[in-house]
Amino acid sequence: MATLTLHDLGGLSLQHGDHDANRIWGGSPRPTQSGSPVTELQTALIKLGTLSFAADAADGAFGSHTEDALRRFQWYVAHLRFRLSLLPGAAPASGTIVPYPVSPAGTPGMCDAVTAALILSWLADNFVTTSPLVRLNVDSLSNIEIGDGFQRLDYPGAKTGEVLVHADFASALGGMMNREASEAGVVLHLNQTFRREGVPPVGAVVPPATRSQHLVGHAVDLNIVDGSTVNTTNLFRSGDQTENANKFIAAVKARGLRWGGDFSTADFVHFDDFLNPNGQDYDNAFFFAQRCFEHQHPMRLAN
Amino acid sequence: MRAWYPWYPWLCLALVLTLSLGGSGRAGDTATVSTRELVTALRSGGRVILVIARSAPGKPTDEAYGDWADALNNFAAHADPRVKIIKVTAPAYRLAIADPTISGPFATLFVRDLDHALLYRGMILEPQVYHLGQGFILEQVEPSPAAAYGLMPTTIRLRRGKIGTSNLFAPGLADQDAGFCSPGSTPAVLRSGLAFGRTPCSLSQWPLSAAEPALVQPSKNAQECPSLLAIGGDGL
Repeated sequence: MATLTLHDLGGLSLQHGDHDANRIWGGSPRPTQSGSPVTELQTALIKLGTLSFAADAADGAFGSHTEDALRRFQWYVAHLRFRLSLLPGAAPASGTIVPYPVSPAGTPGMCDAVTAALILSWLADNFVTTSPLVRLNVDSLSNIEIGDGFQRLDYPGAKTGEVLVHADFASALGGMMNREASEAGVVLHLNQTFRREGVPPVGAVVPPATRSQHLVGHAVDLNIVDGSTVNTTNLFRSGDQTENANKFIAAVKARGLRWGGDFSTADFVHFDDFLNPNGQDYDNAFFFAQRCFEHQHPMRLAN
Repeated sequence: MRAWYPWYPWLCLALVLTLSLGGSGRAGDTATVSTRELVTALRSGGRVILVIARSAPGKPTDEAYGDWADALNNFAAHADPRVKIIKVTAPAYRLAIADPTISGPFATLFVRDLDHALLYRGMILEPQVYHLGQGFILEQVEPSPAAAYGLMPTTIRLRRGKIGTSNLFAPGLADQDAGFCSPGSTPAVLRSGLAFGRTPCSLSQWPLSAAEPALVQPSKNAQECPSLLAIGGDGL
């Protein structure tokens, strides 16, 4: 009886419903073969960081958790341009972020030959998935400062003067918004960028929002400071904000950002580039951003 | 500075009152208190932060709600230990406090004592507002710098009379206000004829519309009184 191993993954096309104990692999019974390829795939996905920790028991049954984890890995290799290089057995915090050329990832939800080859190569070279967040050095920006109300987060290598945002939003905040602030003659005082999921362990008063752009690093809360005038929510509500604040807002909206002042429940301090909260990109960005922050992954410096 | 509060030395009270008439959820860690508990807190003389809230986003993507909840939770997690935080609902607030009245879905009231308070109408979306409010409570900040952020000086007037003349405050009822959740029937607070002493409640004072917030657990509400969850307007 032939025994299947991890290295047979490419020829098996493991998929939802496969089961080691029942000897169902690739959607078909294989009574003449043995082994535990589904278990080995699950173990691999745990190592790669895409099988959630709540479901990390490798049980040899290819169910929805395993399929979701496989889809996450496939999404990652097709979208994110960095991965984490680890020494064997080392904690993520000691890893090194290295560039990664995005590539086709195979049939979504199925461990076909393409996906299997990627998994095997990542494991062989000790690469794991990591965060889409980056550190943005605000101190180096001419018209952006960290405000008095900024809620600092603790993560490996955190430095005063830096904030965390999604890599795709970093250029909007550190580039376009900074330039437009300069053009408008205002300074942006940041109150918050990336936000951790959930509520503080002590002192929670109300339940948090669950699909915010902040949770994926695609938003910023800020006060527009025009000379000695801080354009507060109160000023916007009364329509007394400065002309330069209006000029800045119009400029960044023209460049594709959303301003919370336009929302049905106005949020005058909020700007984002809107990652569809009901889409796969949001779900995956949320997973990797929150999980990698929780597990203390290092963050790449964006500027 | 002392001249600000010679009238109620026993009411060295720090009160942050956050009102929410929107949403359907409730916090896990902070219980919503009854009117009785609110008044007790106001009269207790301790340094108290009282958060009155019953809130969850109407939609999970509501960024304004998310910013408000995050700022509030983070402030509560790091608030000065001299300031106590309590949460109550808008109906409980209205049973206990005659002034200031609240006229929107969200408001926050910072109270140093009954004669000196700061009212913020609407959601607090800037963490600085909480710190200004706390500074005022602790007599570190005067109202003037807080005014730029929308914190307006006010005074607190409690409704007079005894508390608890009805079964509104019977065990198990105060925090559930079952009367609010009996479609077609008169709410317990009205049946009881309750009010605070000389100011009985009337229907006009209790706009029991879909916009009226409930004091009940949202899960029970959803089962028994779904109309109470259809909240979204400026209820008060």
